[in-house]
Amino acid sequence: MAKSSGSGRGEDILLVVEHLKHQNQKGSLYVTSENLAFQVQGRETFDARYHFSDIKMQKISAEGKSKVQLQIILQNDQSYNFQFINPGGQADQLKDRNSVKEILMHMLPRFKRKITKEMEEKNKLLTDNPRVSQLYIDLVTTGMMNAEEFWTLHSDKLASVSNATQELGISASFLADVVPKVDGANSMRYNLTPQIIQAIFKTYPQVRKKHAETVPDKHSEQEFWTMFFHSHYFHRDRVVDRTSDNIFAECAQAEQQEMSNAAKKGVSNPEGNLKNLKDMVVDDEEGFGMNSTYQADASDDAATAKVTKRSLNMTHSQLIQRFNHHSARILTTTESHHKVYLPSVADEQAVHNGQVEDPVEEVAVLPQSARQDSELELLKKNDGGPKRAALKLTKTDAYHQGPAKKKGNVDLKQNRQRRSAFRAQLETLSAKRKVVIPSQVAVQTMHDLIGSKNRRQRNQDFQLPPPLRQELSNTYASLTEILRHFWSCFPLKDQFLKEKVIRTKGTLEKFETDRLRPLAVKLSTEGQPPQILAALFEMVKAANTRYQNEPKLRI
Amino acid sequence: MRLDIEGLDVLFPYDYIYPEQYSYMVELKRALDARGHGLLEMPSGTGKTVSLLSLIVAYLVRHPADLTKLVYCTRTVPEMHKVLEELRNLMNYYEKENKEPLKLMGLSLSSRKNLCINPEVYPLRDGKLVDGKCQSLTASYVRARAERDPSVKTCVYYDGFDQHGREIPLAAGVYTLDDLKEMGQKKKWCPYFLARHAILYANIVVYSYHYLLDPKIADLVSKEISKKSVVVFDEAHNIDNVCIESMSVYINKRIIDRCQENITTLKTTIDNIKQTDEDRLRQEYNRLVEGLRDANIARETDLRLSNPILPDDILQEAVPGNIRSAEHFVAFMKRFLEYVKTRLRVQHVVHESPASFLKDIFEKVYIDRKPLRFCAERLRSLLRTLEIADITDFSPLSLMASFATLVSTYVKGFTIIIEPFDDKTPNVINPIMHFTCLDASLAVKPVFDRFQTVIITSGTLSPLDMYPKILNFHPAIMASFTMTLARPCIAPLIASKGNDQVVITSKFEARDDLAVIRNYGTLIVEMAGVVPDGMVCFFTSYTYMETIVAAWYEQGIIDNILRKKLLFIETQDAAETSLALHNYRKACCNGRGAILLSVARGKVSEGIDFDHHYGRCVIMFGIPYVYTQSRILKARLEYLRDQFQIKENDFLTFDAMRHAAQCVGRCIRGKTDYGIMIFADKRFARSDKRNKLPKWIREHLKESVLNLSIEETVQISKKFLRQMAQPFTMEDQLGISLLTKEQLENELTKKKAEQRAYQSY
Repeated sequence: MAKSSGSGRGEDILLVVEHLKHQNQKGSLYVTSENLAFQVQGRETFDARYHFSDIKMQKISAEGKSKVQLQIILQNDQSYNFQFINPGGQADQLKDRNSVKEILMHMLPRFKRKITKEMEEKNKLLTDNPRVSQLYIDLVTTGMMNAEEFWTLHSDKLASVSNATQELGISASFLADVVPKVDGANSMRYNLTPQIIQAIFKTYPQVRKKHAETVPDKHSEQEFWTMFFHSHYFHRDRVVDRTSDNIFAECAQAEQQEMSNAAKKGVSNPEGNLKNLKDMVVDDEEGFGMNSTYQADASDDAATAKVTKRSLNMTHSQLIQRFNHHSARILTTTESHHKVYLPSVADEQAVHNGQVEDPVEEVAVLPQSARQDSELELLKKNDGGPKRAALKLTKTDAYHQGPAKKKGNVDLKQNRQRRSAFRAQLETLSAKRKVVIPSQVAVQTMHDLIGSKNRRQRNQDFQLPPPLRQELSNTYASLTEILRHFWSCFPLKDQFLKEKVIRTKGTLEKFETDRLRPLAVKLSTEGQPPQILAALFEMVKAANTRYQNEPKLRI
Repeated sequence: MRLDIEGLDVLFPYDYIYPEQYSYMVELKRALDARGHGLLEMPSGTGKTVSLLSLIVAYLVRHPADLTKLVYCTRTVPEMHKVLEELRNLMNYYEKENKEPLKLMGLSLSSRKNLCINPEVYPLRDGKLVDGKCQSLTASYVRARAERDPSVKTCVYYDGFDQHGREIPLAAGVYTLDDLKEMGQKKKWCPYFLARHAILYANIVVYSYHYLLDPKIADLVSKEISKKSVVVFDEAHNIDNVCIESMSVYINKRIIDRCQENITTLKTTIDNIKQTDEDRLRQEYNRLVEGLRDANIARETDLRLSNPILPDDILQEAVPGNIRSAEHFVAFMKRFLEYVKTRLRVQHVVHESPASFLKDIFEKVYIDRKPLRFCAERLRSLLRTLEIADITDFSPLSLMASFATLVSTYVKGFTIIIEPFDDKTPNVINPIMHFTCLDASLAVKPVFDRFQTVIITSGTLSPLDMYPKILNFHPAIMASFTMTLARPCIAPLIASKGNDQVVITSKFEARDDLAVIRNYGTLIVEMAGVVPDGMVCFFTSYTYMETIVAAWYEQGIIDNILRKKLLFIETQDAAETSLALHNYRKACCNGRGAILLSVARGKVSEGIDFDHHYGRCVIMFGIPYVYTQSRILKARLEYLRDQFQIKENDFLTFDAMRHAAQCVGRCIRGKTDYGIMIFADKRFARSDKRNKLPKWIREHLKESVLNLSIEETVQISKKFLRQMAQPFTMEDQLGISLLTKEQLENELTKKKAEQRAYQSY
């Protein structure tokens, strides 16, 4: 057997498959501890080797296909096929294939490159943003700045990318989406997707807990979900038998407890609290009044009253309770992550009063004073308080039926006023005008100030061949970036800044020798005027001077 | 702005005014001038409270000799708060305009539960427990004992109030419950007793109906309120029920059992006292002989509930001899209890008048009518003499005594019904005796007689002529105002049939029909797809709602609803419902949208507003008739027919429609608000039902929307919502539904506005 030859280190050969076809050549496949290697029949060296870390995934041909194949897909999305051609027949071919597959399955995850989310993001930013990418190439790949430093600089861009991801809410009807299908053989098929499972877990933490507790050791995944579909979660009208060994009986109990606790805790909003809403003076006295079912308060004489009332139709009231619980749970799953809300009238009021509270809080303890005269707000004159820009529509139809051309609807009168005012202004302006300097002198001065040289130079810029121009602008960008760092260090407040400024100075020097000088040489060889780079050198020089003049860096 | 209302200078604390507010004030002024009673209907959200307060405060200021006090009765604690905030706003405006503060004082009173600040008492939260604990700390004999024995606990806050609080009247201003509590905390005064004391000299009192209508408390709290007062019952559409409830009593097995325990305890206590302190009992006996039963009535802290009968009917005589002695009285009560117990042992329903009850009791156990009438009074005196710490333990016995007093005092207008079991569970023996008031006018009569002006007002009082009949009074003015609107922001629709042309109705025969239930389901699902944010549905009863929800679950309609909005359902448990309501609001606010299933006459339908996005659509599934098989209701209907010539059906429809109007009216709480009101029952289209809706809803109920299929309903709603979502500014309203001072002074607009806003009966 050929020992691995390419790499210096020795590799263990885990498996050799003799009969194989790869890229239309017959040969044998070596599975080593690091590589997947192919050797064409009769040769001593490997013709192709695929490092495990390069392999993204493997695929196998479907059962029953005439060809038994294994496909590997590399990180760069290239794919290669291996066909197993064991003369022993398909059974042997399959055996070969499966043994390779098994090993790969074991090995691949170990080599899987740990591309963290962050890396992906950075990568995305670099591919999406050519400017950043150019800077990265100029600064990091050339070793002028280390990658970490570069990313701290651009972290703002990254952060914005990561924050933009939005958590998905949960559909209230996720259980309804699990449409049970009845097939002919008296069995049911439930359609569970990872999303639905996620939704179930999020909505019912009790189920997640149970799942974590029982699934690998006591029940299989499938058993667990079968039980779930037989439980009260799915059949919400089912009465839970507490004595049964159903694993969800406990959950039901816990949830019942949770519901009653939540109810007991009550609602802080005085307007929402039905129990204390009416100013009862004697009606909580038993015996007075009418004893109609509507007025009786179940929470008053807890046990007895509740049981009699509930027992009227146990299943129905339980059903209702479960709906309430379900909706409430769904509501809470989303709210903990982000708070989206439509401004209510009360909120608007709160804004007016200059006290914007946390929106969720707002719902909970709606300040009464804020709500109370919200309707009468209309009667007040709108003065004071931040004005909102009201949407003024001249043609509501147009607004609703799509874009339309704006019709001239200018207030003529106002316009005329404005025009006359402007004219008056103009007149006074011309009247006050007096000659300060002759116009010729002024033009000359301006000319001098701007620098006719520069202008000419700029004209010449246009004659630069495009690749050169590109390079020039890249150099500009990189240099300004480095200089930005350099200048941001001043004043040198602490040791860190001091170190940084020294480092940046090094970078700057390096940049000057590695990039600027060669570019200058290149320009001169191509017959371009050297002034083009004058500004760049000026900038470097200014930085150098500053550096040398800094007393703290003298020693 | 400063208004001139028929010669009265009224300061109105806003820059604009709704036309109907102006008309409302004009009518109110006329009622005050005439010193008569009034019945005024004005839609909620049109500033009823501020109109009432502005005018009455102006009247108090200009005519202090004619009118000294405003008693404003509301039903819920948040409403009380709202009224006082509005009042505060008005007072501030007066101060700004007149450059000096108004010398008026307004405050609210609520039960101890809401006012107590004693850290040992208020955490109990439950009304009864708080009252009991409070009494055990503040009753006169407890305090007397504390003087002798410093180890006896009293309430520092009450003591503080007792020492200093009475002499110094509260300064002018507005005191909400929270203000009172804060002040109590600062000065170490009990806010509850401070408020009770202060209502005697306050100019504006805001409290619950019960303090005026329930004789048991009215006697304690409101007895000394001046006759030159104007009483306002706000949200008064259910006032008749409050009256009836305040005079009714029911007795079940549990109460009987606890009464028995009470009597045993009383007996042992009396025996004990006899051995140690016989003097005390003798003193009481002597007092009763001399007829001095009211000698220490002024002890405000000793009583929780006073005599249950109306003040006019209380006998001004000495307690009869056979119940004067404590032992005799206990024996008497025992005999009475035994009698009631035997009466409860029935196999069939008994229905009798108080007179025949009295006759029967005399024949069977030789109990006379006269001592019965003194039962409540006598028990009170006994409990006080025995110095029982917590009177609430004896509430079952007080109830029994109240029943004895009531049944022997009122022969007319009451009925006794004994049911051996509940109608829904005919196999479970659960006997209950109802002593029910049939005549709402009884409890309210003293109020009408005593105060010079009583105003009954609400958003839904239609038909107006019903209230004077059932409350038996003669209003000086009656008026209904509509909501002047710059755009039609109310869309009442009657959905009468499904897309399959099956009639939808909650009629008893058809309500369990699957087709009807399915069509109701289709309606809710379709509407859920069209209506943004919140949607509220009302059913006729809990049982009906439960059946429908179960059926919807089977039919998969619930899943379809959940695909569009979250679902919350009212239950019979108040705490659970509060939570559901809280979550419903949250879902409306975060944009997820939700549906609330609720019950007409339930807790949500009264007092919870679904303004703006909390309720863009209300669906009324069926006509909310009261449970017509109830014997109490039947008795009441009979009484109404005999006494007031009100036909059964008229009353039932009236009652159903006022609740329907209450339910659908929940979604409109102002002029910028908008909402759809769907009446999902064919019977709503009939003119006898339709015409009992308030005018402000009725006038938007066009002929074309009386008989719609579900699909048509959805289409109309869609169009309506799209229209309503357009920006709406104040300029659109000015001159139509909003007036400036200049516009109001312009005679022409004024007349026009009046015409639009007001319709006199």
